[in-house]
Formats: sequence, C-alpha cells, structure tokens
Amino acid sequence: MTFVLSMLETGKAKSPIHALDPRAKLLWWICLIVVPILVTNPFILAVFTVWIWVMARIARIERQMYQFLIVSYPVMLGFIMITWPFFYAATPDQHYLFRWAFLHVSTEGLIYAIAMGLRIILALTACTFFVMTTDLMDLAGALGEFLQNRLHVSYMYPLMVISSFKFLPEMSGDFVTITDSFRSRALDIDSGSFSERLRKTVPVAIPLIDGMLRRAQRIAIALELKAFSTDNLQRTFYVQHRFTRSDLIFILGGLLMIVLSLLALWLGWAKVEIFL
Amino acid sequence: MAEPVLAVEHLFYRYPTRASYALEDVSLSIQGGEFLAIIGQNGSGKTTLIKHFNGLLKPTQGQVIVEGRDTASLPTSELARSVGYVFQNPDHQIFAETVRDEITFGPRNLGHSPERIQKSLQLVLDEMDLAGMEDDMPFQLSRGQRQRLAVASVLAMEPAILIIDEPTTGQDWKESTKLMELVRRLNEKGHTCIITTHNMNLVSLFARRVIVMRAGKLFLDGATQDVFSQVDSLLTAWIKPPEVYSMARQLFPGMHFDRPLTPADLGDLVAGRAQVPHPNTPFEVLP
Repeated sequence: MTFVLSMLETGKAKSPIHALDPRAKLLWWICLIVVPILVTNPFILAVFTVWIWVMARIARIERQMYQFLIVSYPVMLGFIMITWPFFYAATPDQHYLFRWAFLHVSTEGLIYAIAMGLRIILALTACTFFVMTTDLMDLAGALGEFLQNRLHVSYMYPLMVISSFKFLPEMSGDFVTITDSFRSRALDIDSGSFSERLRKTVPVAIPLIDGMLRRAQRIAIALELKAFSTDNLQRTFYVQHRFTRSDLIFILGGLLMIVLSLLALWLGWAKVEIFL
Repeated sequence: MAEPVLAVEHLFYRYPTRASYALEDVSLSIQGGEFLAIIGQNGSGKTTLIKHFNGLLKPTQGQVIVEGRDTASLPTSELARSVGYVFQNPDHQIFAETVRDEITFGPRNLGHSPERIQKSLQLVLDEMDLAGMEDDMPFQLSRGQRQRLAVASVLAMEPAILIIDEPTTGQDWKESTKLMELVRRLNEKGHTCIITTHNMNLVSLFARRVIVMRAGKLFLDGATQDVFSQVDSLLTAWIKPPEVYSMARQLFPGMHFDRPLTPADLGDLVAGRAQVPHPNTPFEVLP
C-alpha cells in the first residue's frame, strides 16, 4: 500500500512530462497498450520498452520506476517463462530441450515465452510510466471538465474517482493505525495459515469500514454545504486544461508507435513466428 | 536505584519514506510506578517515541528495553503482555458486538484462562466505570464511554506499563478529568502510566514527570513543576505552560516548588495562607 501511495506521489513531481496535459498522457498510454496487442516480435517490443525508459529519464522518475520494476520484471518474466513453454502447442518439428508425458520444453516454446513476457513487460512499463508521470486527481479533474463541458455529464462521476484517489492515503493511514491498535492488543496478524490470517483481519476490517462510512457521510454533508449538486452543469473549473503543442507532440509519439507497429504488421515483421 | 521498567538508549528513528530522522538520539529511563506525560507540538516525535515502547516501531539505531527485554527482537503481540497501548481514537480499535467481547479480546489473544479473563473483566468494568454495560453495543456508547472502553480493553491484559495517546482528545473537561482520575487510580495501584497530550492543565494536575519533545529530540525532562517553571524554554518548543505557572513567576520570581502547582496553591500563596518560597526551597502550606 505504501508503495502504491509513493507511486501516486511521484505523479505529482515536476518535469517536462509531468507538466503535460493529463489527457495527452492518457491517450499516449492507450497507444502503448495497443502496441503489444499488435506486435509480438521481441526485438520491436524491447525497443519500445527502452524508449519508455528514455522518456522516464526525461521525466526524472527512472529511479522510482526502477525500484518498482526491478521486482515486477522478474516476477512477470519468470511466471511466463515457467508456465508458457509447458503449454506451447507441441509439434513434431520443434527442437525439444525437455519432454516428459504432457510436459515439453522446446527452443521455440522458450522464444515464444520471451515474446509473451516482453508484451507484458512493455504494457507494465507503460502503465508504470503513466501512473508515475500523471497526477491522477488532475487527470480525473481534466476528464470531468471535458465530460461536463463537452458531453454534459455531471461532475459527480469524476468526483467519485477523485475522492477514491484522494482518500486512498487516509484509508491507508487508518488501516495502519487500526492494525497497530490490534497488534497492541496481542493480535498476531502476521502469523498462521492464509485462512487464519484472513480470519484475524475481520476485527481490523470492522473499524476500517465503519470509519470509511462515517467519513463518506461527513464528506457528503460538506459537499452539500458547499453547494455541490449533481444536477449542476454550470459548474466552473479552477484549473482549465488546454492542449498545447507539447501535448500534441507527445500524443504523436504514441501514435507513431502504433504506425510503426502497423508498418511492421504490413511488412510481416510484427509477429514472433518469424523466429520460429 | 531500581532497574527501570523502560529504558531508551540513543534512539534514532527514520520513517522509510522520509529522508530526515523523526527521532534523534533520545535517551531516557522510566521507573516502575511513574506517571509521565510526554508533550510537544504536532510532529515533535511524541507518538513516534511511544510507538517504540511496545514495538510498533523498531529503532533505526539505538535500543529500547522493556522490563529487561530488547523490543527489536520481540513482536508487538508479545510486548503487549508488558505494555498496554491505548490509541487516540477509540473507534480505531472497537469492533465487537458487546462491551464484554471488546474487553476480553486482548486477554483471549494472550491465552489467559476463562477464570482469569472473567476476573479481569469485572475489575476493569469497575475501574473504568463501565459496570452494567457488559452487553451494550460499543458503537452506541458516548465518546467518553468509548474512550474508557478502549482503556478497559487494554487494561484487561494486565500490562505493567500503560500508554495512552491523547486520552482527552474530543472530550469535554468533565469527561477528560474523569478519565484522568481513573488513570491516576491505576497509577496508584502500581501501573506505570505514560500519556501524550496537548492539554497542559491536565498534565499539571496529574503527571508527576514531564518529557518535552522538540523536533524529534528530547528537549526537557523533569518533575512537572520544574519543567513548567521553564516558561521561556517551553515557548521555544511552542508550548504554553498552564497560566498558574506564568502568574506564579510574575508574583514570586525565582521560586521553586516541590510539587505541581495548582491554582489553589497559588491562591494560598497570594492570600498568605502558604509560605512564599525562597529560590530552590520547597514551599509549604501554613497550618
């Protein structure tokens, strides 16, 4: 939980990329999620991943990204490397390294596993980069502004998202305090089997939920006291977002990746099968 | 001097997400049966310090010894046998359907026998003025009752050391003094009581020793009357001592008291019913 909060805090840092419109970064992120759907060529995936790391250097978040991904990369890659080769469809023409009953590991299976792992790694890197360069509350505010002013949708929905992120640190703080209070009453939360630990969290959950409900009620009252209404579509926004040239260049960077992926598809280079 | 029940030796603590130390080179020792108040402005390190006493936080550097045992190697659930910790907000620990279940939760975790639990239940219900409420739902109690229930549920574990973090927050004077009277009674029965608070009047009335924290360091440590007499030093830590000390300093400069000063004491001094103290000599009420 602390790490998630730390990631969200990184999104509020100052850098040329942090300064961009959050909607531009959202569009860029969508492009980067589409790329691994189109491409399975491990070289192309690796190049795109490196490119995100270069962007992370510009955003001055490479250290924080490294701290998170140094754990996530081996977990993801390891999981895929362990599971995929065993389930890669067996054909007679493969170069088998190991074969027993229904289990089989071939060179082709391993290459495929690497490609699948790199797809996940590219998506994971893009997601981490997006979260660490974007103030999610700013993003929700920008989307709310767009939804209300262009699509005439109430600000209530973005507010729900904003509130979720805004109160996440408070909920996390409450959780730590409540857990500590139960530890102080000799509840050994960290030991025992999974089911035992699950059972021990019940006392912790009750005050946490109770506190959340009370807080939600207080916030609802405070909103009403400050004239908030779900029907009000005339609401103005203190921070008004406008796309700049930098935002457009950034989005074009994301679109360029899709164009290159489509080009690779057209040329027949996009798929891992060319190495098999 | 007897072995302290709690000793802190050159304690440094840094939160994992912070660059600077929250506690720096704090050393102190607490004898059994003391009634101690830890005061300081917000962020001075009071709560960080007391969270070391039951192992909720482990020292970055230095040692915390509780009844001869180093807290670094013991889980909080084990230290709870010696150190009871009552959190500021009672709603952070209340979860049971009845007052009885809430109070017996801790002793059950410690593996106490049913007879022992029943005995301690009755005892703490009486001591915390909750007798007759055993079957009540904790969430329906008043704030003051919930605060007393929080103390009771920790007290039922029979700890030698009782820590209460901000015991009077959100309570009126009547409830605050009632709770503090109960804590004093526990102290008179032999519990070592440690409180943190911003209410200087309550500190003056109940604590016999005061520790002042400033910017993560131990700033002052001494008898309540000695600490509160250092008005100028306290102001540098953004602490305003009770008015009675400021007034006494104006009326009787350089005086020294051998016990915490109350408004009644000052009244006696002004009215001539008590001996005006000379510097560094205790004062006495005249017969």
